[in-house]
Amino acid sequence: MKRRVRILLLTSIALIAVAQLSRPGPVIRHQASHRPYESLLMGSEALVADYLWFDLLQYYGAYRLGENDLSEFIPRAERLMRVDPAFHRANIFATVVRAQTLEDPAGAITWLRRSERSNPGNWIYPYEQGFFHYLMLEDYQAAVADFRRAGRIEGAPPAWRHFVARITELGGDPRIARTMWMQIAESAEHPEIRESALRNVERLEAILLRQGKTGLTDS
Amino acid sequence: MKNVLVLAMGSLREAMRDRILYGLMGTGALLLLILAMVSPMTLGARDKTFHDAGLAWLHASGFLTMLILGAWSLHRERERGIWLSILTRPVSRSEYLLGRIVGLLSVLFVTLIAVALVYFGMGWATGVKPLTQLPMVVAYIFLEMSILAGLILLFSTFTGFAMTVLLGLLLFTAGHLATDLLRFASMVDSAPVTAAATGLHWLLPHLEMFRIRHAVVDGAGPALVEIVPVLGYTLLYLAALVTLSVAIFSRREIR
Repeated sequence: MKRRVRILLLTSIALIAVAQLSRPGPVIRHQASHRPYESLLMGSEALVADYLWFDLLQYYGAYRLGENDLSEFIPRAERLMRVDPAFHRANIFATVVRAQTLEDPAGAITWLRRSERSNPGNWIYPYEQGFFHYLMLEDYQAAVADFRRAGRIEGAPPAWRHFVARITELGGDPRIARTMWMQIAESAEHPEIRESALRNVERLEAILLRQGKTGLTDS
Repeated sequence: MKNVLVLAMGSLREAMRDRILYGLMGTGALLLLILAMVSPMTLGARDKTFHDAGLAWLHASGFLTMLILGAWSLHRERERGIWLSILTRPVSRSEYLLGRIVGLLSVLFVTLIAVALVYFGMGWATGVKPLTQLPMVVAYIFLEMSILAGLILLFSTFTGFAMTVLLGLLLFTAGHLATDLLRFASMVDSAPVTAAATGLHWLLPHLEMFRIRHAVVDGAGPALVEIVPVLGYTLLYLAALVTLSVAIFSRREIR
């Protein structure tokens, strides 16, 4: 009896050893942001991020209604992006608000760079950096580099080639900016972002008319 | 083998009579319905929030079924003296334990399929784009909870209901931190603590490999072939737990 138990114990130890030695690695796609507390959530960190997303939207909505300022927007958004770096919609929303409403495009680009590092397979982050560099910081060389980086990623919109070519050719011509704002307005899901983009389109069209440039497209 | 199947079927029938399964399904369906109703507040992230909640519910259903129902069903057999009446028949102790683990896995399988169907149905009814890798998520959760079933079986051979649940919960949580233990071991100066952390790292099940829900919702789930080594690991670890359970149970005095 004792011998049988000993054999069973040794067998179970051998099985655990074989299992651990042949163990595959985790299938988590966002290793860079991994922290021990995420393990404690046992894969439900996305739920926490969803709650933080609701919270951020409520906070921003209250600001729109004039109930509070946006002094806590950055820490709230930071928390959300830390918990789920792959929450693309939240990342983009937060960077747009930081760049436009809080008038901090440089800070928004810092967030986009971090999101790009966490999601190297997603073209949206370098693509958005291209818009921010061109439209808000007027750094044309950086914008070209951003669009080129986005173009190397599968699924990037073909417009990146157009932007690279036209920025290289025309630099700060308002026609390029107009096309960019048009694209932002067409792809925006949030009404405020769409309205803001359309306001910029109208502003640029007025400039183009004053400059007497024929045609309102740059292509 | 016949004895094992008969015992497994008995466990499955018993579990189906328990209302906890229906409670789990009802609670989850209600949660998803509420989420679908508040979808305008998600600003275009409706599908993501729905899938996050649905998959978390799927995971929680498997977890609670194994932890509570698994521990309770084994404890109930001992309390009512059912295992004594079974073991007085021509059924060996190893067959009894094998029957119980197959029964637990059958209950787990039925629970996960039922919850996944309700989740899929809710998604379809509310117009949420379905996840193509849902069967893969179900498979990974099944494998993860199989290890929990093995732990529950092991603890129920030598402790009572409350301790089985507590130990199962502790080891399951520690299993999700097993990878971090090695990092912790490299950070501390104390040799005994380093040795203990390294030992635990090699002893505990590594459950982070089953964590694919987040990646699947993000559209970056694992390829089909990636499940093969995970399946191999689960089978080996589960076999080790069942063997250890048989070793302990064969020494136990049945009263």
